[in-house]
Amino acid sequence: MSKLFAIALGVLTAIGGFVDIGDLVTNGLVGSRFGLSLAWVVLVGIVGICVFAEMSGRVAAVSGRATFDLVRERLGPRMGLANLGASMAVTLLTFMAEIGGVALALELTTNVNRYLWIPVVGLAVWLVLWRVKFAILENAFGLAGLALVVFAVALWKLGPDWGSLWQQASRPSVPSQESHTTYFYYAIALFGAAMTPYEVFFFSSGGVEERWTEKDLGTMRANVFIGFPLGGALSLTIAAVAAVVFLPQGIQVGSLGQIGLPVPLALGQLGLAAVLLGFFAATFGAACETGLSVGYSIAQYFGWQWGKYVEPLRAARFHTVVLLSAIFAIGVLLTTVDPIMLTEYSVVFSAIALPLTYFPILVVANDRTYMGRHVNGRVANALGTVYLVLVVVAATAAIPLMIITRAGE
Amino acid sequence: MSRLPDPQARSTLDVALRLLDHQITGPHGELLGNVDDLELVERDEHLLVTGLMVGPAALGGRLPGKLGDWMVAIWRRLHPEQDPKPVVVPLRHVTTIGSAVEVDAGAASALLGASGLERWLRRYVVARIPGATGGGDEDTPPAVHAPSREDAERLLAPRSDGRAASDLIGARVLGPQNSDLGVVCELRCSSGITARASTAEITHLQHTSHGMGSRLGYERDARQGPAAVGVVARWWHRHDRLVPMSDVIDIDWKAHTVRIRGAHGDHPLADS
Repeated sequence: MSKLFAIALGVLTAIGGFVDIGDLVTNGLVGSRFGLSLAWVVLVGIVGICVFAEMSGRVAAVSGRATFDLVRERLGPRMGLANLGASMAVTLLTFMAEIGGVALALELTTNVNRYLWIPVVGLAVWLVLWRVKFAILENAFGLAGLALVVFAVALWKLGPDWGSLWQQASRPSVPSQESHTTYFYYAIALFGAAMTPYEVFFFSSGGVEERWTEKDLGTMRANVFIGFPLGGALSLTIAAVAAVVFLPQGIQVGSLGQIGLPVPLALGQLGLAAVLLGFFAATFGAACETGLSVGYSIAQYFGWQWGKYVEPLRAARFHTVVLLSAIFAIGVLLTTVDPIMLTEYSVVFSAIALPLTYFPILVVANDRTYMGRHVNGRVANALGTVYLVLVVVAATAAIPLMIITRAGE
Repeated sequence: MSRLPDPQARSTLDVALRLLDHQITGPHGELLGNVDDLELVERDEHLLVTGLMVGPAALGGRLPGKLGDWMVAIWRRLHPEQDPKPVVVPLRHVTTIGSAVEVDAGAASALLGASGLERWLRRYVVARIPGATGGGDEDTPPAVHAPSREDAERLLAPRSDGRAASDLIGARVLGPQNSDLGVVCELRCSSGITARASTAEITHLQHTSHGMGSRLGYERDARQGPAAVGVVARWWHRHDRLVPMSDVIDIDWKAHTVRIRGAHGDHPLADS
C-alpha cells in the first residue's frame, strides 16, 4: 500500500513538476497566435522527454552516475567543458526566467512591484536549496503545481467548439496571418519547452539523491510514462484556453497575467486563486530544480561532492556554486530585463543545447559494461535514434530561424 | 555506489574508456574527485599504470591552451606549499572499478584532506552560513579520521619518475619510414586490474586517425547500439589498430611521438 502511495505521489509530482515558466509562456503565446495548430509539436516533445528521461533515469538507477559524470567520461575534458559551458548558460537563463516568473506571479497576487519581489524570491529559492530536504522540495511544489489543472476546468467551462479545436490540432496548417518560418520557429520553441535539458539533469541527479537502484526502475518508469504525458496534457490545455479566448480576438499574449486571465473569466475568484497558486508553485519548483541543476552539473564535471543527501558542510563547493548562481540570477533580473523575453529565449536555446547531453546519454544507455541486462532494448533504441535525428535537426534549424523571424516577431 | 553488472566483460581494461575522467568514490559513497589523469611509470621496457592523478594540476594539463595553463597557475598560486605536487592515489588503494572508481578508506580520507578549495570554502564560506550542519537526508557516514597533512601528502605523493597518461594519449604514432599512423587513443591493460595490485601493465596501445569519438566505445563492442550510431561510429574508426607494446620502439615524451615497428596491428574488434 505504501508502495502504491509512493508511486501515486511520484506521478502526481511529475505532472505538477512538468510545467514550468517555459511551458506556461510558450503554450500561452502559441495558443493565442497559432491556435492548436502546433499541438503536434507538444506531443512530439512529450514522447521525446519520456525517451530521454527514461534513459537517464535508468542509467542513474543502475550505475549511480548522473548526466554530467557521463558527459565528461564519454566526451573527454575538453568537449565536456564546452558542453558544460553551453548547458550551464542555458540552465542559468532558465533559472533566471523561473525566478522572474515567481516574481511575476507574486506581483499578480499582491500588486507589489516585481523588482521588490525578485530579491525576496531569489533568497527564498536559495534557502530552500540550502536547508529543505530533497523529498519535501520535490513533492510540495509538484503537488501544488497540480493547481494548474484549473486550466482544464476553465476550458470545459468556456464551452468551446470542440470540433474546431480538434480540427486545428489534427489537421495542422499555418494560420493565414503568420509566415511558415515563424510557425517553425515556434515549433522549435515548443519542442525546447517540453524537452528542456535541465529536466534531465535534475531527474537523473534526483535519482541518485533518492538512492535509486534497479528495484526502483518500475517507479521511475511510472513517473516518466504516466506523469510526464499528463503534465504535457496540462500544458496543452493552456494552449487550448488561449486559443479559445485570444485567437478569435487577434490578441497576442505577452504577459503571465494574460495567460492566466481566461481562468478567472470562466471560473471567477476561486479560479484566480488556483491559477495564481499554480503559477507560483510551478515556477518556484522549477527555480529550485534549475538552481540545483547548475550545482549538480558543475560538481559532476569536476567530481566534487554534490547533493542534498549530505549536509551542506560536506558539499561546500556545490553549495557555493548554488549560492553564486542565485546571486547572479538576482543581479541580472534587477537590470530590469523582461522575464517573459528571457523565457522565450531560454526555450529556444534549450533546443539548441539539447543534443549535447542527449547523445552521451543515448550512448551510455547502450553500454553493456554499465547497464548489463538493462541496456536499451529495441523500442528504446528505435525511438532513441529517431529523436537523435530530431534534436539535431531542431538544434541546427533554431539559429537561422531565430535570425530570419527576428525571434518570432 | 559502483556496481559491476557484467564482471565477465572485464578481462581487459581500456584505461581511457574505463578509468580516465571517471568519478572516484570512497567506501561510503563519498564523491572524492575525478580521475583527471593517470600516472605511468616506465620500468625495464614495460609501461605500468601506478596511480590515479586527481585535481586541477592534472586536469589543467588536459584542457586546451591558456585555459589549462591558468587552471594550473591558479592552483599553484593558491596552494599553501611553495612548490606544490600533484595529487596521485596509488593504484593499490583502488578497490573496485565500475561506473565509478572506488578507493579504500585510507585514500578516501587523504583525498578529503588534500582538497584545498573544498576545505577553504567549507571553513570561510559555508560554515559561516547558519544551518550548514545537519539537514542531510541520510545518516551521515562515519566520521572519517582526518589524517595529518603530512600523512595525506605522503600517501598521495607522485612518483619522481612518473609520467602522465595524457602525454601518451594523443601522441603521434609513427610507423616504418616515419609514416604517420594517427594518434594514440587508448591504452589497454590485458589482465585487468585486480584489487590491491600496485601496478597494472599496459599491453597494447590503440591508435586512430580520428581522436574524436574514440571514447564512445563502439569500436570495442560490436553489440553496442543503437545500430545507426554504431554503424557510423565503427566506420569512423575503421582504421583504428591495436598494437602490442612489444612493437613499440620508443616513446618520446617531450615531442609526444611513439615509434612502432610495422603497421600491422589488429582492429580492436578483430578478436571478439
